[in-house]
Order: sequence, then C-alpha cells, then structure tokens
Amino acid sequence: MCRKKLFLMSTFLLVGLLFCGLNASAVEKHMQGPEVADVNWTARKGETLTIGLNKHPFTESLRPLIPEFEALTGIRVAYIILPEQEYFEKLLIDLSSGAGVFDVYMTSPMFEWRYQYAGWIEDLWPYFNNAELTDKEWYNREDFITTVMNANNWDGTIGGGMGKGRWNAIPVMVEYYVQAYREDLRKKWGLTVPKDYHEWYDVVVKASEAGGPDFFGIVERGIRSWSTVHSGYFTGFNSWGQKDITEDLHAAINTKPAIEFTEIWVKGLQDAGPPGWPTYTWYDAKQSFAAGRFYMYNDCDFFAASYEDPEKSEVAGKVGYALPPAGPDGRIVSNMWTWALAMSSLSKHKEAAWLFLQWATARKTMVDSTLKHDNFNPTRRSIWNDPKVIEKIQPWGSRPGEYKEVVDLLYDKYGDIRWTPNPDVTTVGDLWCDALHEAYARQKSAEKALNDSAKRINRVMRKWRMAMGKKD
Amino acid sequence: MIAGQIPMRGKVADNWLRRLKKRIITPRTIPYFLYLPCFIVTVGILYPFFRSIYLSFTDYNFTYGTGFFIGLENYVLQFTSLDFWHSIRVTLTYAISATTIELLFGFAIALLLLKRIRGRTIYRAVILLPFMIPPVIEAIMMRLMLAPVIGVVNYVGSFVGMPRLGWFGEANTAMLSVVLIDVHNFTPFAAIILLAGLESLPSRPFEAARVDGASNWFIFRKLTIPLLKPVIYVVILFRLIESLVMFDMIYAGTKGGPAKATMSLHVNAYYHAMRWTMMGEAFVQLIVLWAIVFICSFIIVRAWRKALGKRMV
Repeated sequence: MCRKKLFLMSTFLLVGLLFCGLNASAVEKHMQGPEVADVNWTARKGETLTIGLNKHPFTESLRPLIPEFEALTGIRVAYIILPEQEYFEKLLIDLSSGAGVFDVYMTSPMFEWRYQYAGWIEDLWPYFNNAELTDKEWYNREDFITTVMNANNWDGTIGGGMGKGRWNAIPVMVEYYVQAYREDLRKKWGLTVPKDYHEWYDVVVKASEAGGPDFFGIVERGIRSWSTVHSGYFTGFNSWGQKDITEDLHAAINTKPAIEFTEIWVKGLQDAGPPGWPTYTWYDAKQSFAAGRFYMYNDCDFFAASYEDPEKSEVAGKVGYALPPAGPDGRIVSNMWTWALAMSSLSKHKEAAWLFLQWATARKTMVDSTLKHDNFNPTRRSIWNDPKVIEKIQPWGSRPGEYKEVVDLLYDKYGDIRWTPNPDVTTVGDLWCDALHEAYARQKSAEKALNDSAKRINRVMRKWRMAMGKKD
Repeated sequence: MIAGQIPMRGKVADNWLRRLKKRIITPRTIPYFLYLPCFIVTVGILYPFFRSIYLSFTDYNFTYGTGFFIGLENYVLQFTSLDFWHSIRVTLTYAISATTIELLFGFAIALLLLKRIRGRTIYRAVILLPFMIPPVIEAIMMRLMLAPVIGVVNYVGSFVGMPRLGWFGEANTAMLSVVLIDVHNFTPFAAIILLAGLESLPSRPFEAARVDGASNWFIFRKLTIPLLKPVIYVVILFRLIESLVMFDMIYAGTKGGPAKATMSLHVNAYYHAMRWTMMGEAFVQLIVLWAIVFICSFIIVRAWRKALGKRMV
C-alpha cells in the first residue's frame, strides 16, 4: 500500500515537474536569441539586402547589431541613412519610380496609408503565417503593445479601418508627447506643472520672463511640415476634443474649440518662444533644450534618453516629465508616432527581407537595442517591463520612477494615433502647418488662417469623398 | 578545306559591308548624319517638355496611378488659387531683387578690382571663393550662422545693439535672408564677368574724354555704362534665369516658409510633385515658370542684340 502510494506520488511529482519544465521552456523560448527559433536562418545565404533608414536614435541602435544578423544568416546588409525629410523624399522617388532600391525601409502608419494605396508596401501576414519562414512561438507577436501594433494594420477604409486588414509594418519604437520641463528652474521660480493649456501659457510666459534675454519659456518643432502639427500641437488639439477630418471627410480644423486652442498655442510661441520658431526641426529643438536654452519642450517622451545623458546634455537630472495638459473638460490625450520596419513590394529578396524583419523585431534584438543602444520607447511590453530597462529609466524625472509612470499611462490609457486614416494625411498636415505659420507671423488671425487651410484640405480630400460616395 | 573557307567568308562579308557603306553614306545623306546628334539632343529635350505639357492636362498622380485627361481643370485650379499668384509674386521678387543687388555689388567690386592695386590677383581669387560653394551648402551654412538663438550673426550683432532677428524663421525677414545668401553666393559671378567686360573696353574714348576734362562720373555714365551694356545684359540674363528657377537655396534655407513667405513657383511645384504626388498641378506651375523664364530671356536677348549693334556702330 505504502509502496503504491509512494509510486503514485513520485509519478505525480515527475509529471508535475515535466509539465512545469515544458511550460517554463515555452515561456522562455521567445525570451531567447534567434538560434532557438525554428527558422532556417541560412536559407537565403549570399543575398544582399538594402535597408532605407532615417537618421534617428533607432537607426543608431540598430546599426551595431546588424553584423549579428549577417553572421546568423549569411545575408549581407547594406543601408542608406538620410535625414528625415530627405529620407521620405528619396523613398518616395524609389517607390514611385519602381526602382526598388530598398528591400526594407523605415516607415510609419501615416506613410503606410499612402504606400498601401499605391501598392508599394508588402502585406506581412503571408510571411508571418508561413511556418517555414516564421516560428510564431519564438517571435511572440502578442508581446507587442496592441495600440502600437494595430496602428500598422489598415484595411484601406478612408476615414477608419485602423487595426484591421493588412499588416504593413512592424513597430520598432514608439513615441508619445509629454511636457518635458526644467524641474530645477520650476522650483527656483515657484512655477507649477501646467494642468491645462491656460495654465501652460501662464507658466511658459513666466519662465521666459524669469530666464532673461537668452532663455525662452517654450519651444516646439516648427518647420513647414505635417510633423509640426503632429506632436505638441495635435496632442493639445485632441485634448480639446477635436478631430482633423469629419466622418464625411471634410476638414474639421477650424471649429470654434480648434480656433480657441490654436490661439492659445500660437500665443504661447509668440510670447514665450524663440524668434524664428518656424526654423526649428524636432532635432534642433531637442538639442537646444538639452543645451539649457528652454524651460519647456512639449514633444517626444523618448528624448529623455538624450536629456538624461550627461555626456550629451547639460540638463541631465534637472528635467521633469508630465502628461500633456488637459483640455477644457479635463480630457488628456497624446498623439502617437511609431517608427516601423516594412518590406517593399518591389523587393527582389522578399524572404530574406522577412528574415531581417523577424530578426530585427525579435525580443532579443530589441532588448539589446534598448539596453545597449538607447532605443526608446520599446514596442514590446516584455522589454518595457524588463527589470534592467526599469532600472535604467528609474532615475529619469523629477523623482524616481516618474518617467516610467508617465509613459505607462500613455501606453495604456492616453496615447494613440489621432490622425484620421487616409493616404493624403501628410498633405493635410503640410497644409495645416501653413495656418500655424500664418497665425504665428500675425499675417492672419488663427480663425482666418485655419479657415483658409481647411478650404485647401477640403480640395485635397474631394477625391476621397467622391470615392467613398460622401457628400461633397 | 576548312581553313580555306574562313578567309572566303570574311571576304564576302567585307564586300557586303563596303557596298552597304557606299549606298548609305553618300554625299546626299552625309548632312543628315551630321545632324543626327543634334536631332537626338533636340528630341531628348523636347520630348520631356511636351510630355510635361500633356501631363499638365491630366490628373496624373503616381500614388493612385491615375492619369486621366481632365482638360484645363489643373490650369483653372491654379489660376484661381491665391497661393499660385503668391508664388509668382515670390518668384519675381526673389529673382529681381537678387539680380539687381548682385549687379550693383558686382559692378562695384569689378570697378575696385580694375584699379591697379597691390595684391590684385589675390583679391580676384579670394572674391571668387563664395561662388565655388554649392548653393545647398551655402544655404545650410547660412542657416547655422543666422540661427536665431545659437547663430553667430545675432551673437555678434548683439554687441552693436542689433535686435535678435529670426532671419529664416520670420515671415518678414525670410525673403531678405534667402536673397542675401543668393547675393553672397553669386555676386562674384557678376563681378568677374563685369571685370572682364571692363578690361576689354577700348581705351581711346576714355583717354579722349579725360583730355576734354570730363569728370569721372560723366565718363562712367556716358562711356562706361553704354559701352558695357552688352556685358551687363549677359550678367542679367544668366542671373535672372538662375534666380527665377532657383530651388536648392530656397528649399534648403526655408522650405518655402514661414507662412509661405518664400514659396516660389519652383518650391511650390516640388511640394505638389514630390510630397503630395499631385503631378498634374505641379506641371502647370512648372510650365508657367518656363513661360516666365522664356519671356524674360527673350526680352533680355533682344536688348542685348540692340546694345551690341549700337556698340558696333
């Protein structure tokens, strides 16, 4: 009897251990490097891939890791790196001319909508669902933050359809828009962290006055581009409950609340911003903020990696991070941008390109790019919650853990793409930016400038209204 | 046997080629052959030109693959658009002001370099240096120097009480800034051409005027300018055409902004074509730009011929 009991117990124990072991190995498989994946990495040995990259911190984090991919697969990787505007223009020429120089390129949902419509971007689902090319268990697609991954899926519906249909690209970094401000000066001058945009205006003007002639209260990106609209401005615009395009595909940038918000935002730049604001790219503004020239910069959260690096920044350890100010009804939102890697439809090395995409966005590669080369913010939840990553970002902010808390809220609650999906979204943004410049230059009132831009946007959107059978 | 057949075959082929050559290359056909390269070049230029004209009547957009004939719709859209007329105004303002300033400064420099002063050859070489800088590099360099907060110009200016200017970043100074960099880059060109013109002027009329006791100002007005007119027209022709079609300097400096203050026709067409893929509308703008350049060139060339004729007399 006793022997039987002992036998049963040992059997249960053995089965239990085996189950736990199996389970543990299943959990751990995606945490390991590409060598454990059930993928024939050398299947495309000898081929050469050309990757189009934008000059960006992500690119700097990927470059040192590429030799690992070459050693793993025997595929040679050549890359072309260009500044952002030149990059998108060169890419457009490559894709539209059918030259097909790039096999893989950096992109973002706002561009994917155009590329998908033009047939320049490959749907990744067939590659992902091909068992010979992909080890789903190891790759663990579910690890990606849902909103960020969904932003790269679109079913082609003008005005909606995001998160459905084709899978255009794999996100490699994500950014939300926060208030980055000088905590040391806030304490010194007795300022508050703005909770709404009226308070924001008061704070940046006071900071500008307190800082003297060579110091300014606020900086935003300002060049003539959709990107000027995209970050701080669009975040505030959405906090006021506004949308860029109505359901019937007309411009909605000139509603009463939109005008009210634009007036505050432009006045903040006029009264507390640097002269020549329209020359500032995001990069110029980031560098100048890190050089201690500005009190506040409402832009990308991940700039914290630069601000907090004492070798690159004079404000390391002096910056506070806060959620964007709320709209009139207390609504807090942030727009989102995600850089992603996509495969060109014109590529002659599609399977090799998929191997590269799979490797570059696998957990192991992305952990290395984040921990060793500062690729923030990661798009995989397991990396964001990795103890080493948490340890790295813990000191960022006015108190320990502040940056993590703010970005956690943006990941889970406030951050998402706020643009209305349509292939002409960057054109809409460019035309909208003109209104901001005209209001800033005091050539027109905010209302007149937005009305004029709305008319031009409506003309651009006309073909989509016709295509979708909407009222013109 | 085989060895003997090869030269036989070679001989036949040789004879055939010689006969063909004689038939094709005859005294009648030789002029056509000589014209051939010229014809190829002409077709190479005219085909894209006429193709552009055709595309301006279509809704060609390479994102959506459309290219339907839509008649004058693009032209109507542009001619009824305030932005289009604004771009024409910007283009003309830029070109006329840059050309005028370059001509005046170039003239002043040429007159200075004409003087037999010590180190004249060194000055001549140094004065050419800005012209050797590619326009894009010039624009980027000036953007850094004229940066509102960290730029050296505002910094140095602050010592003499100059207010901090936004330069490229303010709507009221952006045009001035791009014209200034054009002037910095191309004044040496005007100076060198005018200097060559001044040096080639006949000396006798000047000596006679001096003997008659004419003042320097009188000689300059009544002799130098009239005799130099053909050269002045050449400078105006080159600089005006280049300023009218200037793209790289404006785009690298201001991207057409702020508030469209420097949105010339060429930059506007670039936005339409390369950012928004609206090729049909872009071609309308480029054709209008071509027409402006053509009319200006035509007028200046006529004036140049007239001046040359007068000088000959």
